[in-house]
Amino acid sequence: MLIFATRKCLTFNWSKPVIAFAYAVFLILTPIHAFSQNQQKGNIQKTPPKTSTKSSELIAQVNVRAKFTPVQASGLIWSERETGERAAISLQKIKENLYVVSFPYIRGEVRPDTYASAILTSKTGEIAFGEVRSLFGTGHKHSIYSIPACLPERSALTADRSRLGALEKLVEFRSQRRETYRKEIVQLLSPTFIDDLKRLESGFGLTSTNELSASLDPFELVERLSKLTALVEQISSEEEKI
Amino acid sequence: MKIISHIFLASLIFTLSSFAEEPLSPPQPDRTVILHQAVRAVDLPTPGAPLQLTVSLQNTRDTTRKMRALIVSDGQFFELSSNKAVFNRREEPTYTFEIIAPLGELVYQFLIPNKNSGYIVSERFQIRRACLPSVEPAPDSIDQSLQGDARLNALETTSKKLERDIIRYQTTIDYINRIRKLMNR
Repeated sequence: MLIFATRKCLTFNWSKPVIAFAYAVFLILTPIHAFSQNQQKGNIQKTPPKTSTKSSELIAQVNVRAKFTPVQASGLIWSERETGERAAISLQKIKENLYVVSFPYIRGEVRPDTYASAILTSKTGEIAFGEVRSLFGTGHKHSIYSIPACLPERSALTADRSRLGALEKLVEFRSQRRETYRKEIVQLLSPTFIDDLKRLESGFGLTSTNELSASLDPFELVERLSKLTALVEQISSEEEKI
Repeated sequence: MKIISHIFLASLIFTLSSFAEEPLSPPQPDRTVILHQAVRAVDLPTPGAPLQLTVSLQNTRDTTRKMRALIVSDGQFFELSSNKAVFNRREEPTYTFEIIAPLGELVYQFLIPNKNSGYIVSERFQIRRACLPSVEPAPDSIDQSLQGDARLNALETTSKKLERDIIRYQTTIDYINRIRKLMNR
């Protein structure tokens, strides 16, 4: 029996299955290795992700805010029926504490209630969850950070030097006006009120990498306060009903 | 005995069939239609500036239904609601939601309770800017060494940035006052 088996093994043509197996291992390991290498080097992909690798395979992108340096990234897809984790194909650093995770999903698995998010993990095991986006419909599935930056504004006044004085005055006037508003905001956002707002933010799960304060840049400040106002108004409207 | 069993069977069939009958007056379907003219990407104001979403209802004159707006602004979800509508020029109940213009993308959808049960849901609107505008604040001062066209350019760019900063601060003050009022501060 042993002799028969040995003879069979020796006479069987192993080259085809061995080559096929080796090729499959190569196909699976190459992207995993490349991704882990990128993570180790902190090498962040700058090129936009491919829109499709197979005809039915699409790419989702999720923004994640994290205070730590991520060493691992993965995508999450869930619906009422199922939840699944997807290996990230790229992790892009947009700016300090802001990352974009790209991962594949299949068109066929998307239902009206299918959503995507992402998780970043640090060396010490800290975790940051990304924003939640719907995968259903024909809308954009890519992060807003895949949109190109607008070109710098070009002056139309290059020929009109007579307006230089007026423009100097306008800038001075607007600077003063901005400073007045900035001071008003500092005054309105007293330390106790700021503490209340921070508690509201953490209570509502509004995570942000920068602490809420009057010194935030005007866009971040208005963005965060608009969301807080929406939530507080929503709650007080519900309370009124009760 | 046979007659009694027939009567019993007939009454059983009658009783069962009466349970299977449709109600005499089925509820009228709610024909309310949610109308909204989606904002165009080119019409989006500068990021952080106030943006109004107006939505009206057709086939109803009820102004007391609560309209909800589910909004995802730059990937962040929040919900707004409006308890009362006002009539527009075509005498349609109209609701207005005030949000701020996003940096890059705005996705939203409106919901109103169906008169019978559940919700009437509008289509999902998605607006994405063609390019991401800079939201960097204007510098506190301009390089005094700049001369000629370079100075003109710097002044014009700074004045535009300052105008945007002012709009954002004004909107911030409005939001702070709204929160303070709600929190009795």
